[in-house]
Amino acid sequence: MSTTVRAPKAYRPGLFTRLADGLRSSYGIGQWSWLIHRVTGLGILLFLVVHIIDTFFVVAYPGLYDHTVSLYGGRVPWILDAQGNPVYFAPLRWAFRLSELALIACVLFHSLNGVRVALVDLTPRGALFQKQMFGWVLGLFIVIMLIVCYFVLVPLFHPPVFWNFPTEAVGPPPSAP
Amino acid sequence: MAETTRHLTVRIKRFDPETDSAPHWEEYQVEAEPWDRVLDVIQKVKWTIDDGLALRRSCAHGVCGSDAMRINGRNQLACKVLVKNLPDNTIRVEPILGLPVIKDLVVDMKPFFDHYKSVMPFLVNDEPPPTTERLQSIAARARFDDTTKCILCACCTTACPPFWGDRKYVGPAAIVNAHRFIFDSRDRAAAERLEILNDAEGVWRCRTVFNCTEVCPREIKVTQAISEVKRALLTGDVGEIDASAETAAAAS
Repeated sequence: MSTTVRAPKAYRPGLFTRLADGLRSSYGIGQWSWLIHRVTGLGILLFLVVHIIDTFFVVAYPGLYDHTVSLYGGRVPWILDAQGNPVYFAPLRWAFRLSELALIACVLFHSLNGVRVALVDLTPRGALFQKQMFGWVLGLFIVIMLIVCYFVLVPLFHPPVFWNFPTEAVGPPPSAP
Repeated sequence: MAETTRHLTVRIKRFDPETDSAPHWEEYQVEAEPWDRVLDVIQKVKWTIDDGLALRRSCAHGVCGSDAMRINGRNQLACKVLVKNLPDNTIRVEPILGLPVIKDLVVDMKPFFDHYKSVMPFLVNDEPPPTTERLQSIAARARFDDTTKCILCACCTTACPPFWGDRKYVGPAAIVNAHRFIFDSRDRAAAERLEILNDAEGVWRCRTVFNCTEVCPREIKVTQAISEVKRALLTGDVGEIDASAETAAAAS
């Protein structure tokens, strides 16, 4: 009869250690494209949450929605100037414009690489050309982003144009007539 | 790289289950010839510096698949990496990632083999055998030729990010071995295997990261094989070749 006198424990690192350990050394294009695909997916998810919240304001708190939109345009709604308009704050406008650019980059990469992944899975010889296809993804991404950059960044160098100035203060939703 | 003796600094991730709670790095200085393999270097450490070092090796010629380890952060067979091909004189050697480490470079392969067994990696055919062989045409044999090369070293499965995160994932090696029988014209259990793999922890956990294809020491196109299984699941088509025409072609 045999008895186990001692059973030394095997070591298994935690999830974070495993992922950090594995990603520390890249295996190549495949792993990078996978990682960027994941990160851009999370970026899009973050935008989606913010977007759902601000569109929710349209119905629930229209005043707050105007404030939010003016915030996106670079004006701080709760600081008013002498004329009673929100104060324009250039770094804020830059921050939102650049975030917009990042959002477009996320969506663009995620969709282009999504097509690559679909081709890998659905076409008989797709997996054999994954590196070439990633070259196409990257090339198209850069070309489209250059054009997008022009349209997104050029307005930043001109003074902002505001169409509607929210004047009413944030309050409870208007009661139905 | 000059064909002279190299002075190597070998950093090995050591783990002794009786004294350590987590692995730590140890450094060894070894002289190696350019024609030596990394396996020789590690064995020199074991035989001349620290005989407590634990590692697996059997054939030492890239066939048995027992000395898979992470060399310079990449899953490789230590017996297939030559010292003359090392980029610099420092080597990092770690156990493969994602399986529990028993000691030093030895990992618990049981989860890996359990996944392997789960896909029924054997020929299933209850039809009475012919008096000679079950004939197969060259085309039908070539259909799954790539995946017959697997030596079950676990390089692919432990290079797979989804497997690092989720040990219930069946893993590329098991899918490769399922592929080997699913597309075999003599086998009759393709539907059963596809049913096993048609699961969130089956082929659908594959995120086409391509690390498996990148590291396979037998150069199996692993991701290609996995996507073939995925497509077989979507279309229900396992490339069945007309058996009677097959036999006639094989006989002639």
